[in-house]
Amino acid sequence: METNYLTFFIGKSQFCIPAEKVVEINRNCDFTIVPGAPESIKGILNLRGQLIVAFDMSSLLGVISEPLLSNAVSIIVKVDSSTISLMVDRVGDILALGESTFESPPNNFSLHMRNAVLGAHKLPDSLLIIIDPNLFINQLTTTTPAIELLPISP
Amino acid sequence: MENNDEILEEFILEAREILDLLDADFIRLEQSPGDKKLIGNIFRALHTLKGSSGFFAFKRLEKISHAGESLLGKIRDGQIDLDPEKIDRLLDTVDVLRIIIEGIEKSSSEPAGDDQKLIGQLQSLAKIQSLAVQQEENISSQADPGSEIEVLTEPPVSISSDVLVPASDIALPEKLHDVSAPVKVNLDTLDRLMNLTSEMVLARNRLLPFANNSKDLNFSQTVRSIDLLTLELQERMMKMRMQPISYVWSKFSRLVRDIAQECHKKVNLVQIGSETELDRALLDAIRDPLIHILRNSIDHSIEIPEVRRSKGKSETGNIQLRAFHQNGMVLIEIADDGAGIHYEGIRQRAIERKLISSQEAAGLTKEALIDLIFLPGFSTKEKVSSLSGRGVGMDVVKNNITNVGGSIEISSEANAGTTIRLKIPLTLAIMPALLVGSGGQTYAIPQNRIIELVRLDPNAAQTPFEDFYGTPVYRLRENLIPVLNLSDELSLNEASSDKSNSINLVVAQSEGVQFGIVVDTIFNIQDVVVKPLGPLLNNLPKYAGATILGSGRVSLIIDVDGIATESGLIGKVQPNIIAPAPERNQILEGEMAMLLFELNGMSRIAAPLESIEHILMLSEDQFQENGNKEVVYYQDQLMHVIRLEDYVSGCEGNGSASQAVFPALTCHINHKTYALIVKQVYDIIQVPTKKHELSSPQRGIEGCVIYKDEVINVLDLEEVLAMHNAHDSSTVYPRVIDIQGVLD
Repeated sequence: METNYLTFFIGKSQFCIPAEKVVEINRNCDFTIVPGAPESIKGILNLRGQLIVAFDMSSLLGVISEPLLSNAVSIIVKVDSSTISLMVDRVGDILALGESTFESPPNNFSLHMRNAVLGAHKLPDSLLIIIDPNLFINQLTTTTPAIELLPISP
Repeated sequence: MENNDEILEEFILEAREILDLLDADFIRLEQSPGDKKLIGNIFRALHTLKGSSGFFAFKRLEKISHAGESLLGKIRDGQIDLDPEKIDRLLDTVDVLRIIIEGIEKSSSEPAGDDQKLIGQLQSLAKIQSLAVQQEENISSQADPGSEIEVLTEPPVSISSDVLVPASDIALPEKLHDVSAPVKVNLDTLDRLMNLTSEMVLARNRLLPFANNSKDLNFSQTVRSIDLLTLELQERMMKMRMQPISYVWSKFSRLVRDIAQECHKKVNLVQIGSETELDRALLDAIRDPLIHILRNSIDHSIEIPEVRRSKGKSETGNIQLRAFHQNGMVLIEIADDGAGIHYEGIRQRAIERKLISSQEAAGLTKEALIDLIFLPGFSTKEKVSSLSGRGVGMDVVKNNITNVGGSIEISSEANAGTTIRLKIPLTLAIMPALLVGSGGQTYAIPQNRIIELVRLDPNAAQTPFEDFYGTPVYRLRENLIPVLNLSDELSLNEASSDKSNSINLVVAQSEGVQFGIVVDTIFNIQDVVVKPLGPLLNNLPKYAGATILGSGRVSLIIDVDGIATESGLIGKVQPNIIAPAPERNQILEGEMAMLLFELNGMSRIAAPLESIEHILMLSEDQFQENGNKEVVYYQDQLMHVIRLEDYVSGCEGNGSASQAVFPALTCHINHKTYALIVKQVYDIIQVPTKKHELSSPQRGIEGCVIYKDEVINVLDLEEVLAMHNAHDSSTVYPRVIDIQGVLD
């Protein structure tokens, strides 16, 4: 049983989200900043008449993005009933990955990120972290988490 | 029952509708006890409810509605008489049914309860044989068939009645109207459709420039039809959100009756204009304020019957609810003929409650005293009743109304009654807003909160703002108002705003406090579609929502109250709000503003400024024919062209044809927009309200006023419109004009 994942990059780090949640990938990221909003919220954008909150994934995941590419692509994701946009540097491929390469987060994994990270897939040369946009949003709406910088080696 | 959730939901919806209908019907029945048709309606409604309850095995519902139905059956057959006691019991029945339905809605099962007493009462009432069958027949035969209340209820279509109830049991109404059944649509679905439509409008806007520059006629025509279709789509979408105000009002007859009984008063409620349409969200917002005002009217204003009689009034007090459209707003009037507001009482009370000092109180006018009613913690009634007079009241009412962008006015005369007037915007979804730029971003400020705009000279020797020991303030005509900088309030990056440019000050008002908001640029006022920011951003009090601009970009809508509260302005200044802000541009009493213009052959003619919306410049080639009438299509609006020269006596017709462009005054009356063609517009003048009548009536002229020793004719707009609409192409002056008939 294989699942499709959409991979995306922030800086040199690669992540992925389950592809079934992705509605579309948009390069037109003409968003409006919302002064006073949490730091992780980049702003709001207009997707065919619907207002969508755009999340700054680099701030959420604590990864420094490439200055030139910063928030170049918006991945529109549908979680529960709401649609959100995840701003990333660039998108990669859609990978079909099976159970065999899946690993749960280790026990000493950062508490803050535990809700957002489903686990990882062992790729030949690296670990592909799976982000769960669902839990991200749930957590954000209840409390504003103080996000620690994750030690991710480039 | 899980599988039946959907059916159950439908049942609850339907049951609620039936109960609402029952309430209204019973009240009507009380007024015309002999109405057989009405009794039939009620009987059928209860029967439907009984049938559906049986289907879901709701025993309590079934038993109670059965008992009510049997009583009604006897009344319908003329075996027993209807008296107030029976009406009371039947209304009790409706109440119990409602409680049960609410219980079912919460828990999907019937709440426990003992109904034996009620059922017993209903049964014993049903048993008492009436001696006055004859009398009742007299009443019903006297009733004029024409005055009978029309069958308002469609035959209740039940989800289960067809199955459970033998067809012969359902007495069908005599005439079945060919009414297409309304479809219930989720508000969410509507909103989504709205979104798509507004997006379509934006796409159309992007398409239009291509068509204008294109040489391809086919393409231009296609775009033109898309343009028109989009426009119509937008209008229809807006209408879909609207619901008649009767949606809220229908429950009031019952409410008024109950309150009146509790206060031992007799009250007759008249509803006028219940078909007036309002946005659904607004209807919900005004329901509670209206109920509160009605309660106040009955409890405080309407006198008890003995007092009324001694004052020479009828024993039954009258309350009139009236709703109508005016200038794009909905006006709701609640007028009673009760004792009116006791101004001295308010004065005393305000001093007692230490809301104002006695010196201050002595100088207050009636209007200022009425304003005191809206202060928190004010209640004049000595005795606190269960209905009203708890001191929470008019301030909450006022808040609720202003929150939706409306306003409230009270006028009252001793012993003649009180009139409360609510002005409510048509819809919350669209509102006029001022677009401003600050820190490189565009923001929208709701127009109804803006009092004026001030542009300050950047080259002035000193800064326009004064330093109030650390807080910037501005001197606005002798009044010191605090100043906020929008980019500071929003912590915007100052780098992009250029300090050397002129400074624009938006004077806004929140909770009676005036303050200035400094912005970089002021763009324009336009109608914006308000969209909520959604749950992820709902804890930001500075924004009232967002809107999508014509360019497709999102712009945040500033919440003036939120900004004022966040900056501490309201908290700081609120205790001083009692002194009412002096009216600006005070117009002397007895004067009105008029627009002075010229027609061919008549150099000085004026029209009341309040009836004129805009002044446009139109050219002859913009006019198009519509039957025998001229119309002009201007900025998405179809306007009827009226050449005033043709309607006003003393003018030379068709003289304006020599001009290339001429000014048109637009006015909006009875849902139609008219463009009045004139030769030249001069000025706005202040003239005495008193008009001098003309000895022999002149066509199209109402009278004249004196301005600077000059006689100025005043246009009779109503008459002109009536003549225009009367399809009367002859120049003969119609002797009698039924203005109301023609305008409607």
